[in-house]
Amino acid sequence: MNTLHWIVLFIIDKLNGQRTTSGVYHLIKGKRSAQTIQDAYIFHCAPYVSSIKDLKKEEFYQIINELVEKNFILVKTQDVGVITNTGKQKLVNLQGLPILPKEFNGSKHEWNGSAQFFWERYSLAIQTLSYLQHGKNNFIPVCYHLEVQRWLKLLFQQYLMDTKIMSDNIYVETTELLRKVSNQHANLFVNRLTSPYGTGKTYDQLCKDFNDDPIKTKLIFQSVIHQFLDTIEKKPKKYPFLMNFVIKTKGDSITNSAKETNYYLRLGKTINEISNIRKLRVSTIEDHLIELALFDAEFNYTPFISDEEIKNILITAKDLKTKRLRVLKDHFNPTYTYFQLRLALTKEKGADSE
Amino acid sequence: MNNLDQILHKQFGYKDFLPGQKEIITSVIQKKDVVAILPTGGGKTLCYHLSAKLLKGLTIVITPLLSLMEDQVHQLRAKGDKTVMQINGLLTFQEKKRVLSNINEDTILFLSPEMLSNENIMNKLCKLRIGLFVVDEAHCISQWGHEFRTDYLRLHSIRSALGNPPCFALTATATKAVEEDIIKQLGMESPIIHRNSVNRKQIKFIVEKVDNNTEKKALFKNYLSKIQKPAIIYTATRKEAIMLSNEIKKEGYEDVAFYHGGMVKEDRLLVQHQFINNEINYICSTNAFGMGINKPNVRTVIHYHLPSSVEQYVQEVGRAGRDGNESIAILLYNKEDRIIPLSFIDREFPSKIELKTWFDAMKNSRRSEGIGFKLETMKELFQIDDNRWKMLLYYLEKSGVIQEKELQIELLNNKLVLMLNERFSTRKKTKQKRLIQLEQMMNSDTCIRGSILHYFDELTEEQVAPCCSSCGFTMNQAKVQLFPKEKNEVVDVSNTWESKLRKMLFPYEGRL
Repeated sequence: MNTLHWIVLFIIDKLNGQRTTSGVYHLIKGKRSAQTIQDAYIFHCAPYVSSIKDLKKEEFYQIINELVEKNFILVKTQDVGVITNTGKQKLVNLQGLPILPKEFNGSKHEWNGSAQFFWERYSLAIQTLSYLQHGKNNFIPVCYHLEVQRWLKLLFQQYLMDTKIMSDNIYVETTELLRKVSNQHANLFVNRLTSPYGTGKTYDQLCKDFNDDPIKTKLIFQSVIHQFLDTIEKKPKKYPFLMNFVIKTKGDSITNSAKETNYYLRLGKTINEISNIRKLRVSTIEDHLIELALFDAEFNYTPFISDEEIKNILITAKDLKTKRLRVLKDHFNPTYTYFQLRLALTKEKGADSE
Repeated sequence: MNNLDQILHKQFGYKDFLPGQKEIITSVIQKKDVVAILPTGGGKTLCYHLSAKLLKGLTIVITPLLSLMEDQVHQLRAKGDKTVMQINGLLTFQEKKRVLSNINEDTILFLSPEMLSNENIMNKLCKLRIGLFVVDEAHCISQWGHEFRTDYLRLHSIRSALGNPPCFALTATATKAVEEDIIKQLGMESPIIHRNSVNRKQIKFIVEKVDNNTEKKALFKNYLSKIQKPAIIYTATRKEAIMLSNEIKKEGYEDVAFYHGGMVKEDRLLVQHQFINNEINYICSTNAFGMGINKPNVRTVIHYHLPSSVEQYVQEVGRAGRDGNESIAILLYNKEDRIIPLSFIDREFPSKIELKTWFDAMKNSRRSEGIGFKLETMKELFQIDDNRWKMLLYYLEKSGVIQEKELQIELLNNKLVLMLNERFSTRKKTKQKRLIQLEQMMNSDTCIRGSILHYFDELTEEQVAPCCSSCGFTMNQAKVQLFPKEKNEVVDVSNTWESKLRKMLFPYEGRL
């Protein structure tokens, strides 16, 4: 049972037989859809969203098969995954092990790509500064993204190409941040960096200290970045240089398309009108509204559903012990639309959500 | 042509041309159509890079593999040539737009072939003067080549649309038949053909037959203690690559990593850099590794399995000895090795049953969904991988079932299934034959070098000594004869993270 198995089992447990295995997959992979992020919140597993972004479908289903073989889960009709008692016992046994670091927060830093944004820029900056400080002007960049390369060029211009000052800044701020994590984790972070002294190491090469589990190693590494970002966010004045590396639309998980929908909403357009203007399906516009309900504190949902109605739905959901839309819809039919039910569920945020 | 030598020296920092390069460049800059067959490590990139600098107008370079293109482009840019740019499916829409608005007649533009069916890109290119149309890995255009890309077949019409700029086709491995096919398919006019021998004299061949995998592993370990590093070990599968890298570690060699196409990009790049910078000396990899990696000092290539064709074998062993120094290629071969490549070939083409299922589904969904049915939905629905999908589309277009991007649903009948199945079987058989040819070559006692040359229609003119295991060459000879003892490189041993970070950023501190 490695980290990946554990995460899959854990999420199946959390989803409580109310979602399909592909729902589990989307959650771990961090699909950019309102449904996925909503699932993460209503089932209290927001930190796990996008935890394994590069998980391949075949790999995922192989794990599902292995979990079924070991009798940890059952896959029922319509592809719904349910944890067995053996599986539950397994999770209890593992409880003592801190498999996902507590600083790790997928919904905040992975789902919208802010951790990746930071790391791509940070690692290229260290490589570039390090090479230039060593008097070497030619090197193959560790990051191929032209956008990142251009971004770095601008940063250098901003600092008048003074590599000494930039190095001082990045060093002081980085050490400050790394002192807040364990020595082992700080080493892991620094060993990923590339300089003329050596190329960064892969997770496979660094997993010796972490149960020989590359995925665990990767999650710990990411949690260091998450902690960086949280700290910088709390005390931006203390980290003026690294502030440059933080995504500008910080904490903004709303997709551009949803923002555009929001623009029309504010003009007073209805869902149908927006659907016509944008030549998008009504269901897509509804997805946008769910996104806004989750992430935009200023979003006004009352034209679509009243607080009273939300309360009613949430209480019923609790009584029926379900978060499955189909079940709720059958119960309420035809009082509420699917959209209204989804909207109501966004208001039932978990304790571990942001 | 003293001029060329000067440019080579001043702009590219090389002292001398490699064999054939100067002649090839001379033909290209005279605006002739040129086919160049240069072995791996023969300096293909320089041939079009330097020519592009001398010809007026934009240079287009078509190359099939995305990762290869990225590596090449970033290596050239890292060397300081910022006129090199790329457009491929890895770029976002905005990035493509940005590149398009930045290209001019000095640009060397790398393109993946499918980008040429993009109207915006073609419109922009048509407005510019195209000085040179380079087709790299040109064997991909031929059904007789070991790799066939249906995208490549459109290159002819695209070149015409661009006003027929001079065409420069390059490949490392082409038999006579493939060479003729390249010329025909690209519509080249009385091209000048430069063919360098595939014979890489500095590479010595060893083939060892074993009876089973246990024996193979034992033999591999035995070789491990004898071979010179850096070494590339090719395996048939990703699993095997990981397994062997663990084995190597167990034997006490820590400087090893595995590499395969399923790794995340960041880690793939790190492993490549580590190998190029001599930080690791053994790399266990599937055939995903090696193209576009310019590492001159690889001393050993081991095949832990049978590659899929003579072409592939030659290309992979060719990654050894680019610096011209003696190197060794070892093939460890077991009769059952053929099973994996054979099953790969099988999976590459849709089966009769699959074809039937797909077609039925297409017909049905067309009925239920009306006109809105999209071909791509099919691909999603049945999770058809890219290669098989492209193959299918190509043949559907060719047999007129797809006309102007519209699917002629009534033509999806049993007759079509049979016909397509027939075509796929033929392609399958060609591929199987290729594998068998390589297997026979490795199984026989004839000189390996001679057999390879014969395969590419070359005569064996001069004797190479030592040559190969068939000619009596053994590893014991190699160590004594060929290699001086290498000294170990100094390894950085700063221990705390803080001192590591300091050293990266403030190199002069310690010397005060």
